[in-house]
Amino acid sequence: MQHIIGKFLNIQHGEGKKTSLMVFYAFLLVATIVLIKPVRISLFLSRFDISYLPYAFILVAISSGLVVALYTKLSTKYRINRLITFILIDSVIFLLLFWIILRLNYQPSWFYFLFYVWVSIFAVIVTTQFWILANFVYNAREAKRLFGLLGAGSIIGGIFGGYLADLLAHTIGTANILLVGVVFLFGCIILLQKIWQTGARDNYVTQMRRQKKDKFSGTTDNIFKIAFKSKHIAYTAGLTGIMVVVSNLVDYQYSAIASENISDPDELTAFFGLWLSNLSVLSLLIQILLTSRVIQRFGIVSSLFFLPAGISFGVVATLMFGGLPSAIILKLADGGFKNSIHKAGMELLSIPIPAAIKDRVKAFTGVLVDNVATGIGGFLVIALTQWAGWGTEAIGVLILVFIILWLFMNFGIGKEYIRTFRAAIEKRTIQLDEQTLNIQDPALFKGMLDILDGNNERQILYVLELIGDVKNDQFIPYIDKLLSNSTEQITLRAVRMALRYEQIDFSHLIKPLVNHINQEIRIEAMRYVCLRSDDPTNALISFLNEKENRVRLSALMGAALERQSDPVFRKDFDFRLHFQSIIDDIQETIDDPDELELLKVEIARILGISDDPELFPYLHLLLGQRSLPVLRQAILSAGKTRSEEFIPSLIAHLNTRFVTKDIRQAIASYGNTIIEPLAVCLSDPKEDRRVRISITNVLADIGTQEAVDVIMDNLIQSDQHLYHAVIKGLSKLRSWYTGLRFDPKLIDQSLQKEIEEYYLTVTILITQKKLLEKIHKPGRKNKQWVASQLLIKAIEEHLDRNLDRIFRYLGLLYNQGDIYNAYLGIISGNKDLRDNAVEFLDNVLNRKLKKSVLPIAEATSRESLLPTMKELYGHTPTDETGSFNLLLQMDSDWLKACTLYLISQSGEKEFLVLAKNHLEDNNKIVAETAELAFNTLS
Amino acid sequence: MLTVVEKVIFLQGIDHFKSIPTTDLSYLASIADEVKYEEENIIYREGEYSDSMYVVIDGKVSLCHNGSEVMIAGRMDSFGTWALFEDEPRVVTATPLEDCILLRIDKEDFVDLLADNVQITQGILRSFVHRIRGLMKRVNHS
Repeated sequence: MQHIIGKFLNIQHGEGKKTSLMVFYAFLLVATIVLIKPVRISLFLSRFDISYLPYAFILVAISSGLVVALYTKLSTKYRINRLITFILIDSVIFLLLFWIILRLNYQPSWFYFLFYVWVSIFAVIVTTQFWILANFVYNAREAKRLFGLLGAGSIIGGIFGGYLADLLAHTIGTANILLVGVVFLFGCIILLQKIWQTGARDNYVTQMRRQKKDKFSGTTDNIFKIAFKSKHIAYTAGLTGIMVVVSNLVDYQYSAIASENISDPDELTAFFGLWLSNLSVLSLLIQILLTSRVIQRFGIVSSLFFLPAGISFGVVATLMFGGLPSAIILKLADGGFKNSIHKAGMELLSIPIPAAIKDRVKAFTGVLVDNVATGIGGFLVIALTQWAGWGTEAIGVLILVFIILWLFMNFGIGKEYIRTFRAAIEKRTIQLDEQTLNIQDPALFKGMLDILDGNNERQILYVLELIGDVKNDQFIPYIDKLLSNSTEQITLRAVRMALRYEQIDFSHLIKPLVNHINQEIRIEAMRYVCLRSDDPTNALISFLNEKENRVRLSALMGAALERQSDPVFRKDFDFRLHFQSIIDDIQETIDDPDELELLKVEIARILGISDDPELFPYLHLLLGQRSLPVLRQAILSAGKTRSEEFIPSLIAHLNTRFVTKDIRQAIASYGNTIIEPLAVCLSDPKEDRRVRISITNVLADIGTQEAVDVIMDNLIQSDQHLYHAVIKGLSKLRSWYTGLRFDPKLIDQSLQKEIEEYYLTVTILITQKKLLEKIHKPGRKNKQWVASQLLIKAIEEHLDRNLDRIFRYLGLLYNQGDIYNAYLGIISGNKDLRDNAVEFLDNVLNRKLKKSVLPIAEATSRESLLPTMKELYGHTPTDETGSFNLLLQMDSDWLKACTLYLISQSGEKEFLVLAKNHLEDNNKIVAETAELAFNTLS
Repeated sequence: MLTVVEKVIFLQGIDHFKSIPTTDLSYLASIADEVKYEEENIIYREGEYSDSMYVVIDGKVSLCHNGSEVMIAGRMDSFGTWALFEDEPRVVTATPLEDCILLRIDKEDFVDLLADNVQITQGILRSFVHRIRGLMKRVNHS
């Protein structure tokens, strides 16, 4: 029975106790409010004329400001449970005092105003505190399901309180009703203690601890400053304000039309009473039947459109037809949605607000904004009807104007809500501060000069990097010292720096550097010397004719670089002649293999820069070298030439170990020209798997639309490792480049396939786990048990990769960074991170994906997916044979091998045929295990 | 002869390989050779170049340092594991106490495999991290 009630009310295991306590708390609290509200109005009207009422409204607005200021102070000092208890005890004392004053038969005029204002503020504060408490009792997912139920509890409390007030007024008298309120509030205090013990305390402590690191933590900022900082809070406050103003205008219009149509005061009272009851019943029905479903189906933000849409409909009805029926429709739309769907939606909006400020924000919107808006509403009614003399139709038009503003704010808060959730789940990553330095800043400039004058090499390098190509004469005095620095990178940058200051000659320091061990320094030094000489070409030739091979090769490198930038030099300088001459000399004179290897590396580098097709045969030779440094440089140089004649050799080297990074860089530098041969290799099942996997990485490096299309064409793969690499390739493309198009239809198809496979694999896992329990004998681990354990582990790993791929596909359809954070939240094992991730997905995924992905994301056990599996795909756990058949049909060779191994240990001859079917499998491991199973069973 | 699946069952019990997914462990199993040693036939000596690690499939192996026995490796125990990760000479002499069947993983093949399978490298690193954390906890408690 309990189970049926729980299922009907959407209460899950472990939520029953706290939910019943919360519903009862809501019931008692609202019953108290509704009980004392009629006392407030009847006492006020027994002393004053109705024209005094708007002044009471304005007094409420002013007082609420003071109360919020006080409440905000208290909320930074006390825990929420203590604060609620304090307010409830304080209310009990006030009610007793009011009762005593009423019994004394001495009531000055200010007492009635005080009582009116106190009841108004009490009603708002205790209601707000209840929902703050609810935010700590439930997480985002639970809240979405159960806030509707809490709302229902409060509505029933309202109906009960109203009838009770009517009954008690006739039996014990108006003043004594306050004592009943005292009893109810005592009930609330007891319930609060119990609720706090059933999880709210732990949630509160956890949330507060996490929020301590937040930028709002321990903030004593004025609540207005906080609202100014957070658009989310500002929108929430704005929405509340508009809703209250519109509500006041609707109330006025409804009352005005009713009083126009009904002249008899008794009939009017009966009319208000009847429709107030009907409104409560309607609210209750909407709350029970619609609220949870609407919020779960359309989302929180969409639920906020119901109230303005309903009111607009009612206003249009009054404008077009007038009369009492349209006024009733207006009031029903307003009251029906306001206290049900809209209220739940507004409460849920506050979930991503940091816990440290949540209660103050709630007090701000729920008390201050609400009351100020009530005051404004009252003022508008007085101004428009009494001063401007407007009729009810004009008020209707004004309501529609406010509703347009309201709709804009709904869209705004929709975006902010998603953004705030995004920020909440991103908080697991560390954001490094971006630091920018302004070189023009005198203090900073002085600091940089001090560093250049100092001995901290790391700092000097940093400053040199910062300076970049900046030319400033103030650096000149430091160049001498930098050129003599023992750190090669500093020397190199100093030579480059010296080139910028033609007026100073650093040759005496730079000339010796042409023999430096570092090739880059040698080249830069030669460049400096050549540029400073009267005939740079002759200077270069003199270096080419040096005895030392390294110096000659550096000069050749310098010439190759010069050819790239100077067409005249390219034409006049006989590069091939010098190259050939140096090569011949090296071949004749160098015997030392280590030295020869170093020279070959330099030659390979020169060939890449010279870009002379006549010399490419040398590069082909070097590409065939076994020496790793030579091969690496030859690969990079071949990539630099971007010549088609190197493409086959480069693709062949995708299989070569230890050159992965270089080969990827070389091939990627070809861009789209190499895509076609890569596509042929990638789709060739006979090609080495390692080559095919490398191609997916290379295509990601290329980063063009053509690369995307090739990977997309290869999405269907039977090899699990290759398939995973293909999807990873797409993920990288999506992450590294912008403007690429990933066919959403194709992605969606593959995603749906992955999701279905996930569910199917879960059914297999459940079956296998049951089988493991059956064969488990305590204290004994036989071979079948070991085989079964291995298969279960392999299935679990398969599911992990499956989930990884599902989220990679989602990353191609939605914001990849957000989806990745959500994925991390889901696999984190941290309940809060997981809930935030699920909530985020719930807000961004389309309806179809929500149905299939959300259950996976929020599943607490594999078994909990069973109902969704059956509903979506009709999968139910199979028997042993069925699960073996399914495993052997899957695309994973490893799962097949593990299955066949378990079959081999089962001793069941009925599985012989399964083993026989895989004796000729293409995969060696599968075939080998099938043979074992076949031999064992036969 | 053991199948790859059976080798995986042995390998997943080794500390360094515990965090490697079984599917990736199958690649490691593919390079693991089944070798037989007769009683007293020394597998390797102290001070020799380390080129492989071993897992005992059947039998017992005595591990001695400076002539004194430091451990006896039984079924599913591994020894010489560090050979895969460093170039230091062997610190013990391994001698079968009875006829043994072992799984032998060659260092060169292992390094080649790591170059191609980042998941295996990640798994081994995870194991090391777990061990370091465990050691740190023990140090902090003592």
